[in-house]
Amino acid sequence: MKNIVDPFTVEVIRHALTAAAEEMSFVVMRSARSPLLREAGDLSSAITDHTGELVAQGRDIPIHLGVLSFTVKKFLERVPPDRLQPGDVWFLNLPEVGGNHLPDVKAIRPIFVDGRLAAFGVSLAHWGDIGGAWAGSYFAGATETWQEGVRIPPLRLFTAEGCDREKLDFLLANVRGEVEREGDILAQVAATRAAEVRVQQMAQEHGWSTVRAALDRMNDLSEAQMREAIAGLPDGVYEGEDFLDDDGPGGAPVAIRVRIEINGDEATFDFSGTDDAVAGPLNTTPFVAIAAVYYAIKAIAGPEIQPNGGCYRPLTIRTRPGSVLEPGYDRPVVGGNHETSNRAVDAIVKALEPAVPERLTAGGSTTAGLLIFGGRRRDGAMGTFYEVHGRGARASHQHHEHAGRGGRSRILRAGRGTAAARRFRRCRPPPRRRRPAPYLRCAEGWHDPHHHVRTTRGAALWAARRATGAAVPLHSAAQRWIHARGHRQGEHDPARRRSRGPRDLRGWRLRDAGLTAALVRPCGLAACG
Amino acid sequence: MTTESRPTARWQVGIDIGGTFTDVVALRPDSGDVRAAKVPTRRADPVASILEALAAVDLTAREVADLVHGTTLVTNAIVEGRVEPVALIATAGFEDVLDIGRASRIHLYRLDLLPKAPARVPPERRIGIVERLDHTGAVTVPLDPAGLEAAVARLRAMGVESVAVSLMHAYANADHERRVGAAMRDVVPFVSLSHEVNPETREFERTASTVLNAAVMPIAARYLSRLEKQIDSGTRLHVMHSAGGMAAPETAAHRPLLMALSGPAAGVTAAVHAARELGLSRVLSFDMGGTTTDVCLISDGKAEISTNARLAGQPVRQPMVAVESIGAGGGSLVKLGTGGLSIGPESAGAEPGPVAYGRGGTLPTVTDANAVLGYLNVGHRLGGAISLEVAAAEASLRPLAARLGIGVIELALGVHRVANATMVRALNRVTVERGVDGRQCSLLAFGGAGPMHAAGLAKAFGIAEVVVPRFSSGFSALGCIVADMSYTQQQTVRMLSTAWDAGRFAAIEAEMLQGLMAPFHRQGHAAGSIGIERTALIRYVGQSTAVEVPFTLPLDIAAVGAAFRARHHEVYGYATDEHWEMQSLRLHAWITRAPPLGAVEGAKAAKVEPVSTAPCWFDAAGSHPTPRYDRDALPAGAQIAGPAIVEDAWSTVVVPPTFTISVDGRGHLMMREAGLTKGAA
Repeated sequence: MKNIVDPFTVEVIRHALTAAAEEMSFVVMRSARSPLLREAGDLSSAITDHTGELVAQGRDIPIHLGVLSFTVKKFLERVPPDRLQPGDVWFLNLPEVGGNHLPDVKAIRPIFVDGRLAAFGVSLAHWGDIGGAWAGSYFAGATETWQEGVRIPPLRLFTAEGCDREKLDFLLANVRGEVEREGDILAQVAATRAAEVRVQQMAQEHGWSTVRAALDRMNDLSEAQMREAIAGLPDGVYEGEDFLDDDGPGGAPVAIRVRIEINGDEATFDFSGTDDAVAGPLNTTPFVAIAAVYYAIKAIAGPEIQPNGGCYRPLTIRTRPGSVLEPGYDRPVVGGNHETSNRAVDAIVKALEPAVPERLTAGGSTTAGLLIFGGRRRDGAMGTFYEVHGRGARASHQHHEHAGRGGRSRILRAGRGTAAARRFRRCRPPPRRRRPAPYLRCAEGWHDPHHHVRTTRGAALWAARRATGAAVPLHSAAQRWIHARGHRQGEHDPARRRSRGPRDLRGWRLRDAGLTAALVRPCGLAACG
Repeated sequence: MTTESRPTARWQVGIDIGGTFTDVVALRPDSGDVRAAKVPTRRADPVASILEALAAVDLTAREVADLVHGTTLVTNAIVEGRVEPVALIATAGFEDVLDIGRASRIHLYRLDLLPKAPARVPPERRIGIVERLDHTGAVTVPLDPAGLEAAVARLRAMGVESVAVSLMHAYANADHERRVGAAMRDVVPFVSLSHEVNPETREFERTASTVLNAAVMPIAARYLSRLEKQIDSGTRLHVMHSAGGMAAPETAAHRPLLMALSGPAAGVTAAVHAARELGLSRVLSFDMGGTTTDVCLISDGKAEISTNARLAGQPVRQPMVAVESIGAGGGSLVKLGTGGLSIGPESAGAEPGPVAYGRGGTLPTVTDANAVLGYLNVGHRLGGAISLEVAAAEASLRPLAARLGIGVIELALGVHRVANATMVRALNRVTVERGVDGRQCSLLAFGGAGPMHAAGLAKAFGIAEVVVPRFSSGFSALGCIVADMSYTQQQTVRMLSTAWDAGRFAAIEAEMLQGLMAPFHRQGHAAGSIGIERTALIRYVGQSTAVEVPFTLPLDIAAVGAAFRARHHEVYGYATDEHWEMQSLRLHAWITRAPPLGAVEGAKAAKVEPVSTAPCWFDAAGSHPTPRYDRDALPAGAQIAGPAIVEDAWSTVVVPPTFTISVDGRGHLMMREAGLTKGAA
């Protein structure tokens, strides 16, 4: 029997679910320990129904958000619902189980209403370290997934009785910064608990059958809105491509190609033409490719549509096994999450240029701008520090006059394809202001770290290659360069050691042993962070 | 001047300057006398409005003991961007922190919006200064005197009036900021120091708040000094601050950001007072004025307070009532666009005002539609100060009606409905969008236009109970009188439970307390009358956000630790046995003022007689002969079935046909739709 719910109640439930998902993110940000979570907010939250269909999401990171529904669906393929108990919290990070990359660990809590599985609360948090070759777990030289860190299959870390200490200790023994990690894990558990409390409150207030009916209605509404939005795009077949400079360790540019077919109120995104999987860690998972499509279509066609399972029903998305977007479970993927995903978004943006140029933007800086280092802290603990740097936004029709204001909205890659970029090429580029910054010493003398970190795309890595003078693969060149820089910092001038920290690093000292860092490249947008 | 000519200053006066009207409520606590009035706001000269308001309640400046003032001056300056240019002095290398900000976008998916609001200080007005403290407050790089001199010279060349100084880790050690501030005071009259405005970690939010403070400082300081000159030297002047308490004018001039929501906070404070008095657990305060409408959720006698609010897209790290504001009110212009009929945000203001007021307005407003529907009384209007011209209002609506091909009455009903629908959006934001079922709340309607729209709004939103409180038209001014006199100060402490330094803690506490009490002492309040609430903000080492743990002196570390773990468990659902860190200390000092407002006399007459009867329209079917009652003549316990109009000198309560209204012992009007009980719908 179909339960009819009045529109007012649907709205109350819709907003309450969204508020619950947002509350989950607040809980992680407020109670987690690593700066990456509590300051940078590299985390996402979602609530799904008992089948894993997305119900509500936080105001988080689109690339995570698009993946989370698949995390639950794939999780359910491995762990049948009859094994789930109230109070369980399962952790997992396998890229092939609805994942994106190993550092993004998902906590899944089955939520029961009246003894029946009703929903899942999912909290994704980027752990500052997930083990592997280098502190921070961005091993640019990786050629296999096992080099990138500890692989966690669905693991019941918490039950109604509390924490399974042995399993937790096993995990903590394999990552750096175990105190910080444990605090982060507790924060994720707390977030899923918040989801449970809210969903059960909702069920109590309205009755689960009403909530369930409201969810169906919300899915149908979003689907109808998305169909209308797609119908607003002119029918046709559109093709676009974008490139990674290389595969990470080196080699030729890697093409991400999309063929979009708009047919009435449905759209197909076919990435079959994308290049083959690469050796280095710039592969990604099909779930990330799907998340990129979700982001792009929402941004271009329907930014205000409530995101849920229904919203994405009119979309068909294909990736080719063996390609860089579906490389096989053994391939390294750490950088693909936010670098390759942005190429997928840009390929879509370029493809749709003939259809809706006025809705598009020029390319963004398209890098996550990561700077990672780790080492032993003053208190003896191992730690990592992972910083996501701000990037320029994409120039758009509305805001080109703001481009370059304070250096925030740079026009990048002008002339590489999009109409918007061509149109704005005539604009004067923003004046380059030199910022005084603490200098770091490298083999050639003192360097301005901002210069390297802020330079977009390949330039930083070329600079690194020049700095070391070695014809070595780019990513590892950057790594070694910074590695070397870290060790040399203050070496010849002991008096300067303390005061030459590049930023406010609190208890950190760069010259401490074991310092490593990775510069991973481009990704822009809000799509990743 | 002889002393005998001076009457005793006994009156407590609350004055709220709104966008359209200035309200005044005066109370003489010893006799219980209350006077209220309303005068049009002079936007160009708000101080003159205050003097006119005093004159309107027959008070001379000398009879006023306390003048409490709520103002939208700072709010409007920020929201409308009419702020003064500011220079920013920051630690060298951190000048661009306003641009860097946070990486989050205003909207996750909208590509047509700017990712975030542009920085308030352009690059050419940012000055870097060589100095550096670490997070403990220890000097890493000493303040360079030559650099300071160069900065002063640059500042002088810029020709700005106001400067914000926000140095790295100034919350931990204010020495560098104080020295920079002292040097700057020679060059510019207004200096805002971050450790005074917001002594907390996170340089972006601290800098943004300090810059905003600096941007409104010249406006606020000039205004307050003019005001102080105009009032009697024997009168104590107070300003409503954003969290719903009162602050001394010198504090407000120094930290004008305190007044960011001064006006709305006054109304919310009065609503809190009424909600407590009526014992209502969930109340939506609905303040519909001439230009804007403010709504706020009051749960269990407390207004929601936010400490991380944003105004005009910029972070304002100050405690403020969590008010949702929309730009539509009685004076909002009615427009017919492609999307249909819409209301505001453009307003006719007080001058020229709605067409019906006959002060030169020609564009139809919401008030004009209400006049056409017969809700406003042609006979006595707005204390006699403003006459009502219904024919002119009707004429102004006629072209729109012609374009829509409907009658003027139908259009006026439509305008009333669209205005209510606009208000529903604001109510949604404070209830439904936070997962609260707003239908369970009571609607507390005030402001010039609030009681006129309350019944229709309640019906549209599904609310069963409407309260129109006593003094509803000057309710914000009443809030100024019933507010506690209070100040809050927060200071970073950063002390580990395992390395507790009781001496240092006591010193920090004593210094904060001294600063907090100074304005009370200056105004001659005895220490015994001042309440103090201490809250420790505690976290586990490594966390960013602390939980609030109230405590009392003498401080018992073990007890505070236990309270922290209990609170952490309550908030996040877990707690560990680790050691903890006191991140900040918050002190709140207040003096409660519970002025007696007096009760309304009980029913003497068996029957309540209407003053007059005139036709009003509630639906397109036809007009109803509607009796009008004088609110001040209604005895406690009186019950009236709709349709009816209850009016006082300044506002009109519309009771549609299916509603009934009753008067309680304190003079509040309770309105219900017949057959509806609270919570149904």
